[in-house]
Order: sequence, then structure tokens, then C-alpha cells
Amino acid sequence: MNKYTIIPSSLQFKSAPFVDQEISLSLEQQSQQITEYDRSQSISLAQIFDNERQTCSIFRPTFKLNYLYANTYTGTTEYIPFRNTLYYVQPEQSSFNNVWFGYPQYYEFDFYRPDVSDQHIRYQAKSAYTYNWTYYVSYAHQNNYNKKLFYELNNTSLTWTASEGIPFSIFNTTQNGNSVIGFQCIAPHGLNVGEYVELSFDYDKIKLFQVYSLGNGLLDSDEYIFNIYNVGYRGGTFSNQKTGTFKRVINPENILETKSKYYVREHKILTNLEDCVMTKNAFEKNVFNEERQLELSSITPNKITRISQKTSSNSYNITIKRDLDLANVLDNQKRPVSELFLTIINKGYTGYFNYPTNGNIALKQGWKFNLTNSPNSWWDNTNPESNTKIPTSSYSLSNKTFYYNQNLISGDTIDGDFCEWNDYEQLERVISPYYQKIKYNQSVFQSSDIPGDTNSPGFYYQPHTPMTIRVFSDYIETGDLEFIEGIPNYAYFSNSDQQFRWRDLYTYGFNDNLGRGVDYPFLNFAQYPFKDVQFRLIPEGINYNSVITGVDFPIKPLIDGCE
Amino acid sequence: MDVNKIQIRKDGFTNKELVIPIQLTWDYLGLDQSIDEYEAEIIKQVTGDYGDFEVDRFAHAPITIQDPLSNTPFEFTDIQYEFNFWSGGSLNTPLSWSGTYLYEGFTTQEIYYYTNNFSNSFFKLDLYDSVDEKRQTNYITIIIPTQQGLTQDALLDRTPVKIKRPYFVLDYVGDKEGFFIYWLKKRNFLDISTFYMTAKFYDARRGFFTKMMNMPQSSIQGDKYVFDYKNYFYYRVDLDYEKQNYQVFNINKYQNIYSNLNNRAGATIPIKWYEYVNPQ
Repeated sequence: MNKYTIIPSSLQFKSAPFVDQEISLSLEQQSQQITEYDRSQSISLAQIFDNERQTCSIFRPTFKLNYLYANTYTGTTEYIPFRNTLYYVQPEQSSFNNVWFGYPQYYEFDFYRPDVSDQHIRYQAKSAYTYNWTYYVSYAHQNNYNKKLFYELNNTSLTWTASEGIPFSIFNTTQNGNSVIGFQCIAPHGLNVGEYVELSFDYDKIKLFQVYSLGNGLLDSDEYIFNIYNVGYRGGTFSNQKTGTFKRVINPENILETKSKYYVREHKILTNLEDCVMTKNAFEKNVFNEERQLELSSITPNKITRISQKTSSNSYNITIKRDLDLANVLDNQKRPVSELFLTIINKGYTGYFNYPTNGNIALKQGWKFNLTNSPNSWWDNTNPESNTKIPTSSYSLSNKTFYYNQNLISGDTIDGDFCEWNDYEQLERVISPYYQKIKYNQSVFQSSDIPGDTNSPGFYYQPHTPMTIRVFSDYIETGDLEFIEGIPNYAYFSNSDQQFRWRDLYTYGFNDNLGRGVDYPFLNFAQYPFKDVQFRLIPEGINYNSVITGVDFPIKPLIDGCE
Repeated sequence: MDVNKIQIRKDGFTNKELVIPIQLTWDYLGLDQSIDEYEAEIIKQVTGDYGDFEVDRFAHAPITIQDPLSNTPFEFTDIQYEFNFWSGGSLNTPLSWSGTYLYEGFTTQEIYYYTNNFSNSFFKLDLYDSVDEKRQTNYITIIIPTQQGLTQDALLDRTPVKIKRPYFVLDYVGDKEGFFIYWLKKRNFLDISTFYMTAKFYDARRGFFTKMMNMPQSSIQGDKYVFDYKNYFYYRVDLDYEKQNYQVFNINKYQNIYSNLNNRAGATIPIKWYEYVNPQ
């Protein structure tokens, strides 16, 4: 295109004259002035510190662990190293019949196991804090809506799937002269008066009912009992003792979006065993006594005088060696992780516990509603539904086999709490906490009088203890479709409102007027969250569910209304 | 403009070409962003970048060998130190050094009753970045108190008793003071993975430090005071940041008791220290 040809004027046509020719070229220039200017910046160290703090996603959590347990079950054993180290009960009698009853000593339960030279295991100092328990950091990473759950109380049992909601049992009664239908739930229902419930069965094709009142008039019953007004329902739909499940609904005009979802949280393990370092908290002890007794040589099976100890009251510290970078880690609601969990799992390397029956698994699991006065069928060894996913390993000594639970590794998943989530509220609620149960291996230590007992008493504990690392706001933000910028990617889009809905993440160091927020130290370009943990090992027989019908005798509340 | 009045005259019948140079000056996209970045860089230089000064716990690296008790492979994690004091005898015989506080001048009574003279004494292990005394920096100090350690038999007023001796088996639990090295977790501030360890004993009874060597002076040929100090005053300590543990190695070419363990010292064979005797 740049090939121009200049033809002489005399050749342009026949007899064309010779004339001078001119081509006019216009040269244009576009210029931009380079602006010279000074920039001035006020440097605020506090601002820089805060900027670094808010962008930092590296966490170095620390836990202080107070361990509370009751060593409650006596038993007997033929295995000599165990028999010679029991905390004896009625040793005078045992010295006659040579059947030695007693409690395993404290170090079978404690987090720290000293070198007791009981001739049972070759002690390794490195494993002193991991013989009995293992500990990890985990987070809730997904929901299991199809988890099979079971509930049994007062000879009534119910099996349901987590997504179906919260089970109840119906009782008809009156309140202030009004006839009401009461729903006694197995766990806190989370309802408010005026909200709605969608039942698992219908009355004349109606499943949705409004909550009329809470409780049955007894103390502490409001959490577990809700009532609907009985306008004169006929037939057996609402007959006494009838069981079913319900789901909470906030707005009957918008059931799809305001109906709660129910599921079991699944936790993903973030650390390996060696990533967590446990040490004793110097000389700190909890308030409970350490029970000791002198075993005189004349009333011990091996004729050696010693001091035995039944319980301990140690306090521990857990630090994480590996930095936890949570930059792209999302929780079970696909939001930035706001909670880490200290996950403690029984190992029981010495073999007192954990006799496997179903697929090499001994450790049982359940939820708070499974804890009843006496072991119910959920905890039976023959019930595979209550198995954890943690297999056992074993070793043999003196013709006895000793089992222990295997370690978890980073990336493993285990079950967690039974929860409720409401899209419209953008709020998760723990309905019933997750528990695990350990039982004595009856072939090693006979704690049960029933031969071949598959449902022997044991100890319960809550493996997951939450540590809050971020806080979601107590208000709900909304954003229109036109203003997408600034809406977080975890926001929920409400079709009915044509709006996005979400809860803001509070910045580090901010506390709202309700006192919600986190203000952990930030240094070394890392967040240092801390959590004081009470870890309890609960023996059988504490009936947590007795409270669901309320308390009918006057008790002094721990915190009164003024507080 | 006059300069733009260009005339092209006919010159025969040949084609003519006109070359017009056009200069283009580009303004780079994102110039402002670059300035912003530069500004952030300058601010960082002014305020200083963050440093990670978090310390980590480095444990003694385990070693797996045949366990003499069970005759099966076993992982040993402990680190062992053996300190030998000079009796005051001849420098020509190794028998003049022995692992007992009695040689240092403590009485059985002082050791048994943990008197202040004894309990305030300690061993001090210093970790330097170099064996060159003129350039080295002491980064880490480990204190081993005399209350730790194994015991030996002794007589206290004709009563047989057990008293402490300067042989330490340090591990995760039990005698653990001095077992762990606490050092920076990250290497961005100081990147040192090899240290050189010296040992001293602080004698609270006399109030001064006694230097230690990795072999007794009896092993030195000729003049007992003329030797290569780099050989005789140090062990090498290697940190493994990945595994968060450390190993100690012998660097004295005349010492051969560690040769079966690739010169690794302290793992089943104790790290040996001998009191250095100054010229009188």
C-alpha cells in the first residue's frame, strides 16, 4: 500500500504539457506530555501492621488442654503385667482367692504415659504423649446428608437419615386451657415461637404447622419441646408416642429457601501426628485430687510394695509445628474457614481397650442423643452403623492379642457434629455434638460380669473441640444483581428476593457490640490463635437426655437471669 | 508551514520513491500501576520487611539399630554426653580422666545432698557457626544441669549411696533439659544449618569455667599443649529443617570410636568430652 508511483505530467495523456507537480504531505504529530510529579505517602506503621494482619492466612494455633476423667470401672485380668499393676480394690480378699480386682492405673487414660517398666511394651520416650491418645487439627469440609442415625429412649427407637431433620415424639396436652400437641425432640430444636415446622407426615395433605409455644412448663424444657395449637385435629395423625422428624421453616411463603437443611459434618484432618507437639503445662494441675494408695507387698500378687495411682489431674499444651496456610481452604458451606478443630482420638496402644468386631474396627461413634443411662443397642459391637472409619492394629504377647487404633494422616476424613444450616439465614447450628466411645477389651481386662458381653460399658468423649479463627457477622448483608462487585463468592442468591445474601467476615481485631470477634496475636507474619480446652472422658450412666422433658425440681442455676 | 512545502521535480522517466520516516514514541500501558508497585517497594524498604523469628524445637534424630535387649531393630532417640574430668595425674595416660565429679573436686557429700556448690554447677554447650575463633559467632547455648545424669556407687560415711555422675542420656521425657535445640523455624533471617559445638563446665565451687576437648590430651603426640584446636574442641551439629531434628558428628580425624556410625556421635555412643588442662 506504500507503493506510490509518480507519473510525469507529459505522460498522463496524449499531448499533455510538461508542468511541475506538487505533492502536499502533511506531517502530524501526536504527543503526550510526560507528567513529572512527586508522590508523597504518609506511612503509618499501625496501618501497615493491620494490612499485613488482615491479609495473613497463616495460622500457628496453640491449645491448652485440661483433662477431666473418672476411672470408674473395676475389672480383673489374667495377664500378669496388667494384674501386677492394678489399683486394687479389696486386695485382702483377692489375696485369698487370687482373683485380683482393680482399676487400671491413671497412665492408661492420661495423655502422658511415663515409663512404668511393667514389662508390657518396650517404652519409647518419643511416643510418651501418643501411646494413649493422638491429636490433630481438622476443619469441617463437607456435609453428609445421607448419614444413618439412630435414637433410642424409654424403649422407643427411631432410625432416620440426617437430611430428614430432627426426630420427635408426640404427646398431647393442654397449656393455659388450650389444647396443644407437644413434640418432644431428641436434641435442641432451634425453633422460635411463630416459626414453622415441616413434618415428615401430613394431616390432610398439610405438612406445615406453626409453632405455638415452647416447653412444657418445666425448667430447661424449652430447648427440647415445641408445641403446635390443636385446633381439633382428628384421627391418629397426632396420637401420643407417634414419632417422626421435622424441618424448620422460617417463612411459609418461601419454603424452598427458608427451610433448614440437616446433615452430619465431615472433618478433614490437616496435620499428621508428628506435626502436633504436646508438653505438660509445667506444674499446673486441675482442681481434682489425684487418688493414690499404697499396695503392701503382703496383699499384692507379686509381693512387691508399691504406690498405685487411680487418677491424675495434669494440664497440657499442644502446639502445631507446621504452619497452617488456610488461604484457599473452604469449609463445609464453601466459605472461608472460620473454625479449626482440635481433634483428639483414642489410640490405646497398651491394649486395654478397642477389641474389634466389625471389619477390624473397634472405636464406636454416636451423637449426644445416643448417650443414655445404660448402653443402648446403638453402641453394641454388632451394630456396624456406629463404627468409626478408624481401623485397629494389633500385637500379641503371652497368647493375648492387644489392639490399638491406627493413627490418622493429613487428608483423612472423620465424622463430626449433627448440624442444621439455613440458606436464608446463612447460619449453621450444632444440633447434637459428635462423640466416640471406647470399651475395655474383655479378653484382656474383664470389666463386665456378662460373658461375651457385646455392649459393655465404656467411656465417651467429644473428639472435636472448635477454635474460632474468624467470625461471621451477626447481621446478613444483601446485594442486588446490578452491584456484583464486593459480593463475596460464598454469597447465597435468593431467587425470591433477587438478591445475594451473606454474612460478612469480621476483620481480625474487630469485636462487635455483642463481643463477637477475634483478636489473636499477630507476629512473625502469622496468626497465633489460642484455645483453652476442657477434654472430658465420660463414663457410662450419665443420662444427658433426661433433660429433654425438663427438670421438675427446683435447682439453682449456674448463671441466673441477672448475669 | 514552510517546511512542509516539498516539491518533487520530474527527472527523466524513472519512478521516484519518497521515504517518509515517522517516529513513534510509545507510552507503556500500566505505567501508573508500575509506579504504585515501586511505591510499595520503597515503603517496604523504609518500614522494613517482616521477619519470621519463630523458633522451632529440633529433636535429636533417631537412629535404628539392633536392640541388645530384644535383639530386634529399635529406634533410639536419646542423645548421650559423657564428660570426663582430670584427676590431676599424668597427661600421658587416659586414665587421668574419668567421668566422675569426684575428680573435679566435689565431695560425695556435696554431690549426694545437692549442695549449692554442686547444684549450681552446670555444663555449657555453645554452638558456633564456624570453628575459626576469630570469626565465629555463638548462636545457641545449651545448659545441662548437674541434677540430671546417671548415677554411680559411692560411700557416704560408710553407707553405700548412689551419686550423680556426668553421663547424660537425654531424651523426649525424663532427663530432657538440653535434649532439644530451639532454633529459628524459617531460614530467611539466618540461614545456618551447620553449627560447631564446644563444651565448658561451670564449677560453682570455684567459680570458673573449665574448657572441654573431644579427646584427652594424652592422645596428642609430643607436646600436650600444641595441637590443632579446630580438631580437638568441636563437634559438628547438623540441623535438618525439614525433619526438624539434628545430628552430631565427630570432626576429629584422630577419633575413631564413631567410625561405625559414619562419625555420628551421641547416638548410642556418647559424645565424649575431656577436661582441657592448661599449661602450668
